Amino acid sequence: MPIWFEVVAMMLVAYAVGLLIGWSIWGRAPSTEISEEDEQ
Amino acid sequence: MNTLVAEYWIWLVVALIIGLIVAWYVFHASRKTNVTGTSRDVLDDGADRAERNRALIDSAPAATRDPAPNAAAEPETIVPVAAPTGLGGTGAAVAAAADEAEYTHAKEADTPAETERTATTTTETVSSGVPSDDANELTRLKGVGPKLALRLNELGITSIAQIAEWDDVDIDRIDPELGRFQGRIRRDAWVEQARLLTSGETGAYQDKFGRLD
Repeated sequence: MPIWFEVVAMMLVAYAVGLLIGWSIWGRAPSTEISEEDEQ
Repeated sequence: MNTLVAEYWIWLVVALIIGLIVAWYVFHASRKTNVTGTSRDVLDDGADRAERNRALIDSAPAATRDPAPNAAAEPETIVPVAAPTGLGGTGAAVAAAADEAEYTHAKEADTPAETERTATTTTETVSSGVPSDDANELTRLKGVGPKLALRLNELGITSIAQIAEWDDVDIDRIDPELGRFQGRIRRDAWVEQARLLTSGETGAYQDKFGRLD
């Protein structure tokens, strides 16, 4: 298995981990606070 | 593997950061409903339960439909169908006719003879036992509809002759009692109308106030 293939695979895994962390932070519980500025 | 990570860790961190940035953009920045701010509503989920219930109780009631009147219940206030002047009183006449039709329909099972009652019989009774003729007489005045006539009946005014005898003191006494009709006495010149009608000067009346129905 060429080394570049392993590096790309590990980068993809790291990318997926980043997505997972981001989803857990911003994607799970939307805020219930409503922007009054936007409604005006 | 460990040597690869040790050698290319910077690329892994870059990939991780790119993943975080993409996730932030997808899950947070690009949302149509970008919600920010600090104000809260009592109806929000998680709001204090007592506060939320209080707000629901205090809110305006949903539209409700009055139950169909029946013979056992107290006499329903039925707006008498006065001879409508122009379009005045048409709405009340339609409402009274609808009530009567519903009343007739409700009693149909018990007394089939009741089905012969029609909407035209709504002039038979009005609330508080006030004869409808009195109300009808008052509605001859331009600007006085069935509801206003009923209100006047409640105040003891049942004939045009009484209105013809009013002076400013009487007007000032009666006017505040008319609620949302306040000011109509002078605006529509009830006293002048009544005087012309009671004196039989229909010609002068019609010249000034329009056709007499």
